[in-house]
Amino acid sequence: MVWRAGAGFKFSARVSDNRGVDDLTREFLLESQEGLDRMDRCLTDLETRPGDRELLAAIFRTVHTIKGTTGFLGYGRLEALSHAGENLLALLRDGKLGVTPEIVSAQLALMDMLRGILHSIETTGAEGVAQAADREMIERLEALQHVDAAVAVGAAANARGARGSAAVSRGPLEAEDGAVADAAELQAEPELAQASVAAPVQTAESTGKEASPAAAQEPTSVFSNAADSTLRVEIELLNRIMNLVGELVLTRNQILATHTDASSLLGRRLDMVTTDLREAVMKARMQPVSHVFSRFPRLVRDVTLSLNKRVRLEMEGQDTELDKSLLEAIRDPLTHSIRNSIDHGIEMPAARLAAGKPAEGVVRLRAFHEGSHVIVEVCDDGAGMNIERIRAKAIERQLLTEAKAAQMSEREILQLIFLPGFSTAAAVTNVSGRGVGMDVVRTNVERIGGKVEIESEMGRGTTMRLRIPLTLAIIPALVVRSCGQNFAIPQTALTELVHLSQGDQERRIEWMENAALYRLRGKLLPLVFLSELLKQPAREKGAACDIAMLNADGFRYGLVVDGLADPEEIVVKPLAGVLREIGYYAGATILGNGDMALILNPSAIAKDMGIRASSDQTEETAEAAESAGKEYLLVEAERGRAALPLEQVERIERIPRSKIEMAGDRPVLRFGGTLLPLDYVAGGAERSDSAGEAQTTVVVCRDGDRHIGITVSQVLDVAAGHELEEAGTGAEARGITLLKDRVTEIIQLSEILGLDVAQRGEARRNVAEDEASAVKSDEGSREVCSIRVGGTTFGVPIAHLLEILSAPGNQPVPLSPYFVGGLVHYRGEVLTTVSLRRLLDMEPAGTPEHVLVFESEDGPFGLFVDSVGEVFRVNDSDYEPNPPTLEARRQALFAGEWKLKDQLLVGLDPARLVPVQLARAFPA
Amino acid sequence: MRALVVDDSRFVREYLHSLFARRGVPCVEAADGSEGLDCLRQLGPFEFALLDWNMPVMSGIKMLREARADSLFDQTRMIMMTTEAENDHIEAALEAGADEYMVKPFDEEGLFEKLRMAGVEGI
Amino acid sequence: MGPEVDFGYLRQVVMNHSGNLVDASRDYLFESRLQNVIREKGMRSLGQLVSALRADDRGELQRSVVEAMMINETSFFRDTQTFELLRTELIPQVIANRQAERRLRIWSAASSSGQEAYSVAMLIREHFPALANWKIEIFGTDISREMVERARAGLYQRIEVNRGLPARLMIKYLVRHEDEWEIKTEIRAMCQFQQRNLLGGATPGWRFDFIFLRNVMIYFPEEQRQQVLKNMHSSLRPDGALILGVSEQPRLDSHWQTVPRPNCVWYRPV
Repeated sequence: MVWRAGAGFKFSARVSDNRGVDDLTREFLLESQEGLDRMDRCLTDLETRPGDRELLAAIFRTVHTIKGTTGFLGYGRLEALSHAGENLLALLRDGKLGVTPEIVSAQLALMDMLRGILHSIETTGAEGVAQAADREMIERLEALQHVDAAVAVGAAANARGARGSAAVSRGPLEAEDGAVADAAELQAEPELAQASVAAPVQTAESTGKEASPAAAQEPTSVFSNAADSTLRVEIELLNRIMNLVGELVLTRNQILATHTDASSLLGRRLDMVTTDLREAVMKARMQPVSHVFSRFPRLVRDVTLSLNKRVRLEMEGQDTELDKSLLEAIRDPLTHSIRNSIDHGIEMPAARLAAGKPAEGVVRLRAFHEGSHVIVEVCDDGAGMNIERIRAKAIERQLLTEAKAAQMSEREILQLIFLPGFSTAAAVTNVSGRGVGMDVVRTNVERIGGKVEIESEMGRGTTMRLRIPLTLAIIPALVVRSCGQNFAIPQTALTELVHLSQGDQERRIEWMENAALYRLRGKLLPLVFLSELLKQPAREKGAACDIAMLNADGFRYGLVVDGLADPEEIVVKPLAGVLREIGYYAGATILGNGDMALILNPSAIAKDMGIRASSDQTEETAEAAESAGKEYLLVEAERGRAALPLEQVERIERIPRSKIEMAGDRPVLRFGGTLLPLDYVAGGAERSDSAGEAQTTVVVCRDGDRHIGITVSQVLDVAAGHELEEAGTGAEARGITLLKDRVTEIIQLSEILGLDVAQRGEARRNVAEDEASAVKSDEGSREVCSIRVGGTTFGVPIAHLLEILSAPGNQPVPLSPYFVGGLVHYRGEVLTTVSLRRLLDMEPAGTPEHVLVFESEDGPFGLFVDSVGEVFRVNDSDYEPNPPTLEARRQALFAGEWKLKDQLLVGLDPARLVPVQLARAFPA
Repeated sequence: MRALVVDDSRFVREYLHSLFARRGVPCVEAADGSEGLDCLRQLGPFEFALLDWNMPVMSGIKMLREARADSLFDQTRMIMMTTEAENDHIEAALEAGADEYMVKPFDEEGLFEKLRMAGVEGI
Repeated sequence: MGPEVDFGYLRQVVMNHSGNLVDASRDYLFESRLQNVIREKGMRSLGQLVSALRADDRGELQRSVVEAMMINETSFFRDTQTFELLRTELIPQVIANRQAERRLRIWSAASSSGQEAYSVAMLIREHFPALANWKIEIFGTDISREMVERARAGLYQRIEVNRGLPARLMIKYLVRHEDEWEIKTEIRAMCQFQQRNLLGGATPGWRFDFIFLRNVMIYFPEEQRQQVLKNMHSSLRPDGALILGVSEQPRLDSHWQTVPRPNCVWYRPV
């Protein structure tokens, strides 16, 4: 229910009107569109459950509502069309007409038509003039009422005989042609035409009842009113709030970093409020995937029919929530995957029968949580992918050499379908299109930080797995240092940290050929030296270092860094395309102390370094190979040695005891925006660090969606347990396991977890795209800003100049294209900056003094210059094109020159300096 | 003066809300009959209630019957509003204790006339 | 909503096409009645509509505007106090006076789509069973042929049947056909409609017991009002009653006597 206090409520508080459609109309459009989406699904369900009266009543109600509301606004076209649809549906609902594919098709076509008109209202404010198509649609719907009329009337009459209920007729039925048995016969039942008395009331009653538990249990009954207790907020507004929260987190971090007494009451209050606010805003952006799934039954139906196949769609996990913007982003990739499954995956019914499968294929759509990701799978039981054909095709298309192809594993071959221009369809159908497809799927998913995986088995089917991050905007990260620069590693990938003191390296790091390995509790993990990876200056041999043990989507390895800084919640700032392309960076961030840090992408690094997913490498560890049982984390807890099921362990943290707070009588730890309950007992399980601060180790575990921290004095090992049998019964013993030959107590999380912990909702922030405005051209003259680089004075038109930054801090980006000067902090964003010196092959000038910030279609970017002069007006009459003697690069870079009285001003066009342009024009 | 609007269409609730807001009448909204009853019981008293007929969970006519069975709501004028406009619907509604019956769609003037017909004074 | 809407121009358009004057104090009518025209044409504001009207050389838009301003002017049992007056005072009185004739004639002037005439008919059927055998003649006249035809058809849309018609009467005196409601024959038989200009002079032989001339005067300029009232005067029986809109306060000459009642007034010819 919605309770609005007072009548002074203004609509303008809700949605800003940016399209000239008033709020009421907007509400009408939204509601009608939702109704149509539901209809799509219900109608396709109707084909499989034609006799489902509840479904029919629901469908009828939806159209009925649309028709009812159109009248309020005087939309005649919509009203006439929906009225025709409603009349037909009334016959179905009243059991006077049987459901046929023709009727469903006509209703679906009607839905499309209504959508078109809604769209027209949305964009133009008017529904447009009724077209011949309207008339045709209405005639089509009317004809369908009549084609079956003979049967219907017969059925109705029978029904009446049997159940004594009155049938409804809406006036004399017209005989259209010979197909209708006999018009006279129809009218020979005079009471039919007048008997419209009791039935509608009964129907209304029964639809009232349909509310009912039965409907609630039936997952396909769509009518939930959850949305009705909500307020609509434009996604733009949410994005803005999200950005502001991001800035707030940043500010909080800075305050906490600069005020060393961060534990002061105010600091902690700010910390708490910020965290809660962030959490709440992220929640607000979550939507169940059913918003996207709901369109697929219709899609499957249409595609299936057009291909003469038989396919059933099964959907699971529709309540799984995902950030709204991510949800939007996977809509097209999912659509494409489903089309592909039906088009290329599922075989023709005859072929399926021949292969011993049911004629009807199944496409299964599943969504579920996995760690900090939501997985959405499109799984079909079709023919699977023909690895050899993919291999052959790739060679034929010259996507790779024969030699290379021969070396590739099946898994690698499968990935080839994501290459642009790859298509294996023997016949190009109009369904999946022509070679644009999987590459687009991958691009779209990767754009939101997700991943696409594909698995396929010949004859058995294909699974396309979209791995979508829950969060993109603010993530907990560990800040590490390499050659004096900061890098952030997302906590999600971090499993543990190992410190090697000076001289430890040689002893602890093993070498196999040229590969460094580290033995962690018996497992050999490959090591990656960050400074080498980023081609930073060579490190001193044997110096102390830290290893961040990472597990990035199954790639387990250690990243060797110079040192560690604090974990922080960082706000992810996007990088310019040219820097994204480097591949190792997931973004950049501004740290609490104001420094910038590049965010590493652990899985991209792993792939690039040729590290295999750990599932392939289990045989490398002797211990793992022999263990058949479940894996446990062996800890020294207050109560003695105990085991924690590894699957429930999320991470291990070392925290100062002072961070433990009391919530009521329960010890808690504020963690990632949630209160993490602890099984902490004061005084137990503690050690002091070098500074004398009492430290405790917390194993963060997860049971279902609840988290708990187990305080332990030490983490001992990871080992496989052997289940024990209870003497006498032979049943599996609960609560204990045999671990390293010792009976060990298993800590039962479900018993410890008494209270609910707010689930962590996470979201991604949307980066508003800057709109680039057209270049202004003044009559006869223009304003330029003069800048100096080396000995040359340049003039840059100021049209796209946003700001001039003086002496900004600069963060170099390892591996970046030569012309990139680095990153600078610009109004809360991370700005990619072009160095004019580097571009012109000049000596670096030490610390750049100024950065000019320009706007571009690609977002703002910076230009490092030595100094900035004044802005003045130059006449076009003084302008001359580049002299032909100029060398090629300068020829392309410079935009003519102004010959002024006392100086020469070389023209620079900011549009040519956009990083992505430069990358294209002047590859290294 | 307070109004209760019971309709599963957000649009209709919005529309009525806007009409009432213009006249300074606060308005509580419910999306089905069962919510409507809750509102009557917990947020009352209401001078009048507008009930849609065809709603999920609990229809307007059922809500009307339940509400009329309780003398507590005798003072609340109940107006059914629906696209269902067979005479027998109207009869059934009046029989069940509706003070008026309004056919959808209606316009602003029609609404307030109906309210006055139903005995809502001073609107 | 543009603050600079030229209502003068809108009034002029209405005047030009219908001869009706919309008083400046009723400018809000443009806002409320033209909403649907604005919406249908995909416009956003009245100001925009005014601009479009100025550019409308084919007169099509002008006609829609004038129509929109003229319709919905009538509803069933509009102004209930008037019908209460009819029920409690005027009809009982006239029944007493016409026992010999057993005949009642009522004029619904500017009858528009007929709701007023039918309302009177329904009221008589509902409350005066004694009149069952009387000859009841309710005349509706309107300047618009289209309106007269609509009134004759006695068919009303959803929005119209809500307007003023109690549900109880609706199911008693109207029949539903799909999305329209038709006045039942017994009521229609009491009413007839003709096209007629109120300025056209009195019709000889017309003598009515009651004349309804409600909310019509506002559309005439002052000098024409007197002409209309003169016609009314000569069409009314000496003991008859002229009924104007409840909020109308016309300047009446000595030919009329005002009879005030708690919520309304009626006028007796002198």
